[in-house]
Amino acid sequence: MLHSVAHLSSGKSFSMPDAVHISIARQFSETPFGRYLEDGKESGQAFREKILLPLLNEGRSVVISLDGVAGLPSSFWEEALGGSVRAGIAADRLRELLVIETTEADLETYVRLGWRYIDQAEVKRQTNQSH
Amino acid sequence: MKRLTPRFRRWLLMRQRHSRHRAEAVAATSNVRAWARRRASFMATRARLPAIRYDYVTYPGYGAFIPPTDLSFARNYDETLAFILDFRRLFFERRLYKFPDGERRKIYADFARIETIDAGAGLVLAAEIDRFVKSRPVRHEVHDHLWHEAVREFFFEAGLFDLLKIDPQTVGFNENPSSIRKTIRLRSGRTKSGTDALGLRSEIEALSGKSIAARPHAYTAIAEALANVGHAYPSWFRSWPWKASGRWWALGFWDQPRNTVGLQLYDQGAGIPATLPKQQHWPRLFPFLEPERKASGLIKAGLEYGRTSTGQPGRGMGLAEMADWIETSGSGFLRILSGDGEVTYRPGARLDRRDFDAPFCGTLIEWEVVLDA
Repeated sequence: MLHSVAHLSSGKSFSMPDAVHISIARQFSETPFGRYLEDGKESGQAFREKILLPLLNEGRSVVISLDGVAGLPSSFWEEALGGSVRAGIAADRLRELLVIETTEADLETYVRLGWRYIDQAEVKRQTNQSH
Repeated sequence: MKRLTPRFRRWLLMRQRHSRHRAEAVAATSNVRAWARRRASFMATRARLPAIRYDYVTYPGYGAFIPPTDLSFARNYDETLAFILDFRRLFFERRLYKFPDGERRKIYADFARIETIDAGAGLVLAAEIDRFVKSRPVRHEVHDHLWHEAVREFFFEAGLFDLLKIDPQTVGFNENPSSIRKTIRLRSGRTKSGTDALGLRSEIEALSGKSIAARPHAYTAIAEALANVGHAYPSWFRSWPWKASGRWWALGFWDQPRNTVGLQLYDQGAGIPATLPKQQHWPRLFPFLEPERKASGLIKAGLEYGRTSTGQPGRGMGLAEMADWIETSGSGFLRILSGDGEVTYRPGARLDRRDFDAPFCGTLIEWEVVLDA
């Protein structure tokens, strides 16, 4: 089940044996909340800066599991993923390194949304660069 | 360098003291002027609403200001807001009030005149009582035996008797209220965590004994609304008579015969129409704005931008995420009352709008959802 969802989430047809698995609910917060650090320690910026970016900057593959979260407010999720693009990691690179997965049907929409936020941030970054 | 003699030291201390006093005097004058400006702005808003109604005949020596019989922003906006503003000002100023006959009397709010109180207005009133009681931590007198049963039960269930330090036993309260609507206790805070959103959802589910939505939808809607409270009190915002508190207040209800749950969230901030243009994504709202820039149009633009930005039906960003709970449940409504405008969202992205002459005192967000049988 996980592999099939991972396939859906990253577009890859292979597993990531050396990947670092991050469970948002267990390792960060069951109740992600807010965009910036000023919104609290469960914010998207806190997740990105403390957990996600250090691994991605080392070139490590990361599997983010959404299972167990109460929900993912868009401000949190956009800042965590779109913010990674704004922090300098291109969407193509994220597609190589990142898998977002869940076994819960209620949360599957957040997998698609996550990639959408990444793509939107990439488009905006390229638009800004061309200007 | 001059030698620090005892006399020179005394002179230096005196000069330091004088310059401090001068700075304090300047600041005080400026504070008084700012205070007067904020009061004038408050009174200008009040002047756009129906005149205050009194009763100074019933109890000699006392005068009442009278609430509308139907306390509801949805059905009776002007009179309800007028009463809330009067409550805020008259209890804050707390002096003998000069009535039209020229006599000064102690003033009280005649809650016995309220026949119906809806959830949103109940929450705003509860927030006013909360701020008043916390600023005057003494025992308050309440003649609740004269009130309509529904109003008394609302006060009891929302925990307002506790706030007022009134023991319901001493006022003859019926411990087995027969109301068909159950209300959760008033909650308030300055959220920096999602546990408040989870707590609100859990409390309403405990009250109704049912799941109120697919797990993430209610949480994300409430969490996004609570996160927005952070934007509601920008550093430039000042309020009168209370200082900007940075707080939110929340209530919820379960209406068994209608199989409906409701959640209301209120802040006393600057309002969405005032804060939206100062947010980062403001330029991206331009395509959704109307030329006249009415307050309800600004709220509507925030909702529409959020809905289109994800490109996924039933999934929005920011304001729109609050509507996703309604969209996915396929019933009920989300009502956002803020600044001079109000927008009501119903499933299928149906929007109703209203604009008012007098701005609302903050932002009130209400969800009502009919649950599956």
